[in-house]
Parts: sequence; C-alpha cells; structure tokens
Amino acid sequence: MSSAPPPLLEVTNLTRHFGGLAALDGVSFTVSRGEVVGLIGPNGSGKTTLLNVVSGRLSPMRGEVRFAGKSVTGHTPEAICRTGIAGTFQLARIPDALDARDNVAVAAMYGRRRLDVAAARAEAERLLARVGFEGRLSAHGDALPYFDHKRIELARALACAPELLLLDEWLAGLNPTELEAGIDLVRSLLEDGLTILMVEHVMHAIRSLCGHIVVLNAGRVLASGTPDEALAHHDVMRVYLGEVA
Amino acid sequence: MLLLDFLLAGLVIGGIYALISIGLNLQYGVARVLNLAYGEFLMLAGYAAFWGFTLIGLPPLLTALIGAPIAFGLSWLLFRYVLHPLLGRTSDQGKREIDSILSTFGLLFVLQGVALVAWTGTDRAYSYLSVPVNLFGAVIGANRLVVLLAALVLAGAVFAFLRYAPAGRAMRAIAVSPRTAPLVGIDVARYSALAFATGGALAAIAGILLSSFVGINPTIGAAFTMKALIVVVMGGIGHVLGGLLAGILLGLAETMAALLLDPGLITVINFTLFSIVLLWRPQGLFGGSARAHSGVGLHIPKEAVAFAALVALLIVPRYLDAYWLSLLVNILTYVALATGWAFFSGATRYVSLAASAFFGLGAYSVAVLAPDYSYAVALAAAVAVSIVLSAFVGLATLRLSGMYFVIFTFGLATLVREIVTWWEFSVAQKAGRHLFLSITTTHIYYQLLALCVAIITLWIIRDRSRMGFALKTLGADETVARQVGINTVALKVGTFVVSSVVMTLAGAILAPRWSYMDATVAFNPTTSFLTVIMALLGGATSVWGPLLGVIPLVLISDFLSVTVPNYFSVVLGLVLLGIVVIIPNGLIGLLGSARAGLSRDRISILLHTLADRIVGRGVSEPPPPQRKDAEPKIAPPPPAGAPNRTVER
Repeated sequence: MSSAPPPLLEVTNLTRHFGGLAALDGVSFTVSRGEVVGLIGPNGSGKTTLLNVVSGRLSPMRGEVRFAGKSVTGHTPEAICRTGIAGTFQLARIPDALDARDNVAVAAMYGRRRLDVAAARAEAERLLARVGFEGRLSAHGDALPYFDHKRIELARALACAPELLLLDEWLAGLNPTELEAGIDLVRSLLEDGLTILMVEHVMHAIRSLCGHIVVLNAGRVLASGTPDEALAHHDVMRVYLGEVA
Repeated sequence: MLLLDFLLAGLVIGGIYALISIGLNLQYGVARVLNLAYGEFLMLAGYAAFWGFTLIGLPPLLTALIGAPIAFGLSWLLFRYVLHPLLGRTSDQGKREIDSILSTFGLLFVLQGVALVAWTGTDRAYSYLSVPVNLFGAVIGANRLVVLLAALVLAGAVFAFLRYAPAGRAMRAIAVSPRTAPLVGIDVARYSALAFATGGALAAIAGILLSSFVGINPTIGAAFTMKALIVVVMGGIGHVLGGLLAGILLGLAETMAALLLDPGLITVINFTLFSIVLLWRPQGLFGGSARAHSGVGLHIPKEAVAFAALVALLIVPRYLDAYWLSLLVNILTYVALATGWAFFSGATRYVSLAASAFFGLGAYSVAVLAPDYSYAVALAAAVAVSIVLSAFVGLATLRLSGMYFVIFTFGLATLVREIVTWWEFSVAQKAGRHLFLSITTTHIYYQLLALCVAIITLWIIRDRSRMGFALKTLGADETVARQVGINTVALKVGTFVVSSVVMTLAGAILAPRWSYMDATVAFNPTTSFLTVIMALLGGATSVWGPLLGVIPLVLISDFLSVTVPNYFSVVLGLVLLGIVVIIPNGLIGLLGSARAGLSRDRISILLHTLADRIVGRGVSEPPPPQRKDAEPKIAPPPPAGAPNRTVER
C-alpha cells in the first residue's frame, strides 16, 4: 500500500490444515515497524492458529513467515522468542509454581536478554509496575484477579524484550473501566516503539488502536486496510451481520 | 507347513498377551486406575485354578465360570471401598496417578506376600487339556488354543459392549472426560466401579486359563502387569481391539525372533519393538499428562543445620558397628538414588522408571571391568555409557509424556537388563560375576556421602540460578517455557543426564559390597520402584523431599525384614497403603498448599507429624490427634534396636 520501510513481519501464503479443516488457507499480509495491526474475524476463522504459526507453536504446511527480513518458518517457539517475537495466550497461563514476579522474571532470564536472577527480578518489578499490576509481587496466579493475570501475561511477554508483540484477545473479558485502562496501556506500548499484532473482538478497541486491520474468514483474508475501509467491505458486512451482538 | 506352525505359535502367544491385557485396559482406560497389582490378580486366580484342579479335580474352565463372578465382586469391593475413596480425594489427574501407583504398589506387596506365606515360592503347575490338536496340518496344544479363542471372544465381547451397550457408552464417556460425564447424567463412581470389577473378572479368567500351561508362583504377577501394560499402551489405552492387534503383533514378532535370531533375545526384541512403536506413535488419551501439579518449594533450612549434620555424618562411622554402618550405607544409597531421580523427574514431572537401569549399569560395569582394569576405569566407563543412554531417554521426552514416558522408561530398563543377561549368557558365557575388591564399607560410606552432598549441593545451586526458574516453568507448563525462550530440549536432556549419572555412580560405588552379582540382581526393577516411591513419598519437587522419604522407608523396611521376615512384603505393602491413606499429598503435602514455600514452622509440624504417624506412635506419645478414622492397622514399629545384625546385600 504505502511506500513504507520493509515490513517487520511478512506472512506469505500461510496454510495449515487440521485434518480436513483448513484453519489457514493461503493467508498473506504484512506488519510494518511501529504499527498496530488488528486481526479480526468470526470464531474459527483462524486467528489463533495464525498467531500459533507465527510464534512457532505450530508449523505451517505451506507458506512462509519472515521476521525482520529473515525466514523464521518452522522455527521452534524458543528460537522465535529469541529473534524478537513474544506474545500472550488467549487464556492466561500463569504457572502456580512461581509467584507473580518470578513468572515475569523467568522471561527476562531467557527471552532475548539472559539477565541474571537479581537483574531479572528487578526488571520484572519494573515491568509489572509498567503494566499497572496491582497485586502483591509474591502472590501466586490462583490468588489474583483476572485482570492481573492478563497483566502478568503482558509483562512476561514484554520481559522477553520483543520487537513484535502478539496479543491474543488480551482485552477480552475486561470490564469497561479496565478496558479503557487496557487500551491506554497498549497505546503506550506503541509509543515505546513496539510493533503489535493483536487478535481482538472488541471493536471499540480495534477502532481506537489499529491503523490497519486484517479480516479473516474460514482461513482466508477477506479484507484488509484501515478499520473503516475494511469494515465497510461488502464481504465483511456479510460475514459479520448477525454474528456480532 | 512351517509357515503355518510359525503363524499359529505367534498367534497363540499373541492371544496370551491380548487376553491378559483386556482387564487392565478397562481398569486403566475407564476406571482410570493404573493398577500395578493387576498381575497379582492373575496370579491369585491361577492359584485358584491349580488348587481347584489338584485338590478336588475341578476343571479350570469351571473354575473360570465360578471364579469370574467372585473376582468381579472382590474387585468391585476393592474399588468401591478402598481405591475410589482414596483416589477421589483429588480431581488432579497427576496426584491421582501418583496415589494409584503408590497404593496399588502397596497392594502388590500385600498380595504377593500373602501368596508367598500361604503357598511358598514353588512353581505350581498341573496338566489340563494338554492334548495336541491338529489344525490345518499344524499341531497345537488344546489349552493354548482355548487361550487364543478366549482372547478373541472376550476382546470382541468387551469391544461390542463398550461400543453398543448403554453402560459401555457411559464408560467410554468417562474414559474421555470424567469431569463432564456427570453433567450428562452419568454416575461416574458406579460405572468406574463396574469397569474396574469387570477388569478384575477378566484378569481372573486370564489367570485361570494361563495356569493350564504356565507354572504359577507368587512373583509371577509383575511380569504379567508389565506385558499387559505394554499391550495396552501399544494398542491404545481403552481400545480393546487395538490391544488384541498389538498382542498378536508382539506374539508374532517374538516367534519370529526366536526362529530367526536367538531365543534368548525374545524379550530384547519385544521391548525394542515396543519402544519403537511408542516413540513412533505416542498418544495421550487423557491429554497425555501424568504430571503432578503442586509445585512445592521447601527451601533449605538453615545452612548451619545442614553443616552440622554433614559434620556428624563425617565423623560418625568410626563410632558405629557394622550393622549401623551398613544401615547408613543403605540410606545413603537411596538418598543418592531418590535425590538423583527427583533432580530430573521432580522438577520436570516426567516420571522415569529407569533408575534400575542406571544403577545396574554402574554396578555391573564395576563387576565386569574392575577385576581386569581398575576401579577408576570401571567408574569412567559406567559414566560414559550412562551419559549416552540417558541422552537417548532424555530425547524421548520430545515425543512422550505422562504415563507413556513412565512405561517407556520401564521398558527401556527391562531392555537393558535383558541385553546384559543375553550377552553374559551367549557372548561372555558367564553365569554371574564374583567381586573381590579391597574396598571397605567405610570407603563406600564416604563415597556415597560425597555423592549425596554433591547432588544436593548441585540442586540447591540450580534452584538459585536461572535454571531453577526455567525448570519450574517447564515443569508447570512446557508451552509457556518455550514461549519465553527456554530451550526445553537442552534443559530436559541435560538434567536427565546429570540425574542418571548420579544413579549410575550410586550403583558403581555400592557394587563392591556384593561378592556375587548377576544381571537379575544388579538390574532389579524393585530398585526403580523403591526409588520413585521414596521420592514421591517425601516430595519430589524439593531438594530435601527425597531425603525425607528415604529415611523412614529404609528404616521401616530394614526393621520389618528383621522382625517379620516372612511377612515382610505383606507388612511393607500395608505400610505403603497406610501412608497413602494418612498422607494424601506425600510428606511434602503436609507442608500445605503448593506455594507456601518454606517456613520452619511447617517443617517442624512435618517432622512432628512424621514422628507421630510413622515412628513414635504407641512409643513416645499418645495417639495422633486428628483423623483417627483414617488410621489403618499397622503394627506399631517399636524403636529400631536389635544390635549386631550383619546386613548383607
């Protein structure tokens, strides 16, 4: 579209089947440095599968994922993390074996930085404060409220020191106040120079954060462009009518 | 002609495997109890057939008819009133599997011990239906043909039942998801009991039919359990027809191996095939997770305490007589084994049953190499071999997890033992090895002490380093661990290699205590079980847990072996069952919930409870305050005393 610098993430013709189901069927798009790209689509359209392929948890059957000009197709999740892509899980996964701080610290010990224990813990405290974590640092996952789970997840992803952040419905399930705080937080990350690819159902968040969105349906790209352009697209209207409350 | 003979022989052996696996398939696949005492049910039924036939001339087929309902009833009672309440305490699948391993292992000891006391260790065999039958020109014993037919019929019947009967559908629903089954109105307890009891009845039928051409003795059960497990896993847990196919495949492979290679290699082939199948096509019916959940951090008590204990252990040998020294050597051996084991398995939640393989490699290397070369050479060789083997097993964690890893490691341990046995017999042509090394018990003691200190220190350092954090993350959620950039493969393989080298060294150091050694002794699978049980008992996720488990168990078993040698295994089994009943989450569970971390109060509570529950009851203080209802009848062990006993290994 625009004559921007080469994209940070370039996904070409990505295909992944589960049995007879084509979760991804030739998906291509790019994410430029410093932008927030929203990935939307009805349930089962392949959004999470796409994030799983980009982060290395699944390998594609066809197609390529290029990050910062290099192919990372089929690399292991740990290798991809170390090249600079980190993300959150759709359902927060905070191991109870570690407290809130150490859950974040472990990502700073590994990830791209390999800090020692003391430095990683200091960094974890900084990041938890950064994302507005309100619980005790020594609290464990099951003793914390939902939003704090989300914040730990985000802080853990940030602790990997990524260039590209993948958010899988990070704003889902927040109450209206929390949602505004969440949107502001994501926006502030952008100002810090991060690039973000987010899967989201909350249209309000998409409109206020994303400069560019990609609409998936049944494993294919249905439309892409600015939120206004893409959402006005004929097929998008058709797919979404009656599906979005 | 020859081909037909071969096919038929293979089919018959396969039929045996399939037959013994059906019951276990129901018990594990549906009732979700990994019944390690399964083979003991076969054993007892075999005895019933033997006594019925020899005493009153009861034909085994009739015994099967009478015995199956009785076995059904007994298994139902066992499940309903012992296993179900015991395992129902937690909804955590990992804890449940650990509890079922510990409690049915206790049951195994009890049943085996009872049989040993009642009927001695003699092989009991009788002759029934051993008439040759001519089948398309091939000749086969009628009793074997009956087994093959029974396998086909029963597998078919169970398959049809699970497939079409409403009760069978309910069972399959439970197998798939015991949590959601009640939501659609299925009485999980009832159908699980039914499945378990049916499994027991099928085990009885299998045992009775087999006894017509297999000699029965009290220790035969474990082999049945293992074979059955292998067949179940190969065929797919809960898939009865898969089990039938897997059994026949194994039978044919065995016959072919005996025909084309060397009959001594049968078991080797068997386990190789099994390992390959498992690695090639592992499937987790239950999400493939046999992992314990609670991560416990009992950290280091004051260094001063550890230091004082170490100093005491350093100077104590000169004041001890032979008995106490050998008891300490025993304890240190198991501390090294259990701590070494938990160094990997506790942290990663991959439960390995290969301890005996590494222990045996160490011991056997010394036995073979030390006489001709030097002790140091033998040690180095043992370590080298164990590094190679453990790297291989470590890589298996890429493909296998949960119960599949457990069974794979057990198969591997058996494979190693069988290879050594075969090699000694066929290549080296030796029946065993005699050791005459001038290494004293005191030497052994200090070496073991050094090994224990080394692994504990390593563990403490690891827990404080980045690696400790990485392992905690990995043990809890491997996906998260990889997501934050942890190279889980290197971490698992590296940790497993260290763990295995420690166990190998324990064997190598202890070897000079034997004057005679053969593969059966060195690679005794009991070593694996005891190691795992001690570590789980103490709590495998923290550095001091295994130690906590080892000391009481070694003391108890030593005490029992002296006071009630004849009832040793019965009482030990009861003690194990009792421990599972009294201490639901292992000794470390007494520390409270997962995280609580350390606190010295908790440790002292633990030690008091321990003392009350296990050692001091009826001796030092009045009975423990709570949960009297849960107390089983264990003979209260008086203070260990009886000096001047020489203990032989």
